[in-house]
Amino acid sequence: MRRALSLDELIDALVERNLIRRKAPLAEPADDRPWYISVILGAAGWLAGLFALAFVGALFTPETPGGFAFAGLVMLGAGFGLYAAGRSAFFDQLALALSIAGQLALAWAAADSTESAAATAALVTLMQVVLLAAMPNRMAKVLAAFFACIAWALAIRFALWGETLLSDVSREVPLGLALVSWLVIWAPLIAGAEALIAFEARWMAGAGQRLARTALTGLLMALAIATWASEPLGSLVFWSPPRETYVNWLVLWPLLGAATSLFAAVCAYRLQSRALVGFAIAGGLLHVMQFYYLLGTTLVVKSMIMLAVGVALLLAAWGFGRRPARSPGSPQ
Amino acid sequence: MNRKELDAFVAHYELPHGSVEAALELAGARPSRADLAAFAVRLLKLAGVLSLAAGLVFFIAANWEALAVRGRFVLVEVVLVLCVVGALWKPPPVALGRYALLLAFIATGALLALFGQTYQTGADVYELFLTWTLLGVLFALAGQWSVTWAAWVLVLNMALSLYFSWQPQSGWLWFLLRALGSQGSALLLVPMIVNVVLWLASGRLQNGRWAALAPAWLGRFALAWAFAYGTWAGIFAIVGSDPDFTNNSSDAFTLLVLLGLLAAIAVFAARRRRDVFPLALITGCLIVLTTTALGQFLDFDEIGVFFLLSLWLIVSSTVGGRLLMGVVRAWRAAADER
Repeated sequence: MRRALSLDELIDALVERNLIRRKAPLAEPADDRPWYISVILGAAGWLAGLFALAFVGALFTPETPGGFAFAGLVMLGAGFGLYAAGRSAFFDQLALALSIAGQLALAWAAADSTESAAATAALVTLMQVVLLAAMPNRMAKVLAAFFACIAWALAIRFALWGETLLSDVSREVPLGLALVSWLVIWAPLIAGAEALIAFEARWMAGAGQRLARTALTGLLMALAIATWASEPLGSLVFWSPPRETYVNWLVLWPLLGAATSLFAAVCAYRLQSRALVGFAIAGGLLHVMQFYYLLGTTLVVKSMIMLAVGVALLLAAWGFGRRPARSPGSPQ
Repeated sequence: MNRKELDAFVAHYELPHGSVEAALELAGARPSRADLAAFAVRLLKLAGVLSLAAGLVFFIAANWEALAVRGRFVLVEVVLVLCVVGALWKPPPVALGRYALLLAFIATGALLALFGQTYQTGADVYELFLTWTLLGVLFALAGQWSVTWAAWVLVLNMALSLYFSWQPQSGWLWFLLRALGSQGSALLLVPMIVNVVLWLASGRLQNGRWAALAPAWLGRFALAWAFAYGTWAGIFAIVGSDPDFTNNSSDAFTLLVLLGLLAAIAVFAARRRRDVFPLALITGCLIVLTTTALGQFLDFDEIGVFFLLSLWLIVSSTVGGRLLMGVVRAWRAAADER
């Protein structure tokens, strides 16, 4: 790989090419946090949000969907205001906690009023898309994009297959239908990520830079783990043996999820984000574990599938490795 | 330059589309076709080998009656022998040798599982993983590859988790640890120390000719396990205690040793000035432990407890985040000066 330039070297190179004129030095970016510090802050903010919701619930005891919705909107509004106004880390953390508590209260209100998991997931998707566009904070936007994808996956899958575990879908699901329904969920998100990377230079130059960057990060995180995350209990059904002999090809979804994890890893490499590459590889392993536990076919068939996939991947690597690159340093 | 820095740069200079293309190109922010193809091939190979390994493990787990016991053993042993032959033919660091030894390491676990499944040895599951760790260390050493070492660290920690979560009074780990006595939470410090030693060893290797074997992420992986055990021990010690620790002095001992370990790791990391990750783990651990302690010992009604816990999490994470970012920037500046 070519040597990466430092900021000063890049400025010199662009000045030399008459592409920019020297300006006042660039301020240190406010959000230059390493990923692991973001994880700690995010996890603490999330937990604080849960306690904040419990505090509001215990203090005001809202009992109707309207009450929950009102509490949720107030907390979300307060979170938005703090993000917009505050320029301190404390206000950002407080805003995150209030925003999480508000979102959970609104999701509760949606579940209570619709009494439908699919409708609730659809409403949460809508809410997260609005938050992605509106929230004036990078971490809040990334989380909104990530949860929008998970909620979208849940909404479609609940609508198509009912509000139960994939392995408990009672009827036998043919292979074609299982593949098509998976594509309905994930193809738009894969296409979205690919388009955002393909047109990266264009949107980096425009007003939508922040929105597109955070959406892309959230999308890649979702592609890495969301098939697993949208069916977490599917990995934990080992205590419940199959009650009948049936073939449910929805069992292939985790393997397709592993494929999207690999796609996310390649996208992350294109963006030179090591943290996202690692996250995507971990996501791939989680999906294989989910495939092991998800019921729908026998372990012998699963082992044959894995062996076939392994051979296919090695053949693909062999074929891909033999193809000469067009030119050694040419851009992708 | 990472994408955050490039975004800020582009916005600051208000670059048009064409100039952004040039900036991305000059900054080396996009891999070339050759780099991307090489990465994709590496990823496909790794995924392919892991898929084959998963297929083998699934097959053993299936306990397929159509295949006789002898056939099952022959199958796994043939895979193991083929892997070793492959590694001898193209020894590491050649890629084929590395992938073969990774597969051999996983096949070792499958063989042990098959042995236990077939002969009902009565051994605890942790013993399977521990034996796997001991036998697999040869493949990890021969593999000369961080990925095989990561798999080894994972299996070791599966063994430790299984033992220390159930604490069965059998097997040779119990025999070794019996001398320490059953100290409940204090016993969880043992796997923490094991992983800290692995982290230290990984750090030592980073300075010498074996640097490629111990990339920073591998040491971080072991250290993350260490802190998982340390936090677990701390929570157990706090939850099992009364406020002045008068009824259970071993829990106080656990907390004291844990705090001592955290301090030692902090001092070590601060002297090296290389990686803020250990300090971030210490911060996370302390936030969890103090929050647990507040939840355990606060004498308020639930409204007060929920409010204070929420507030404490916000305050402690804010302070922790600020301190960590201060260290990140100071160490970055010092590295730039060097």
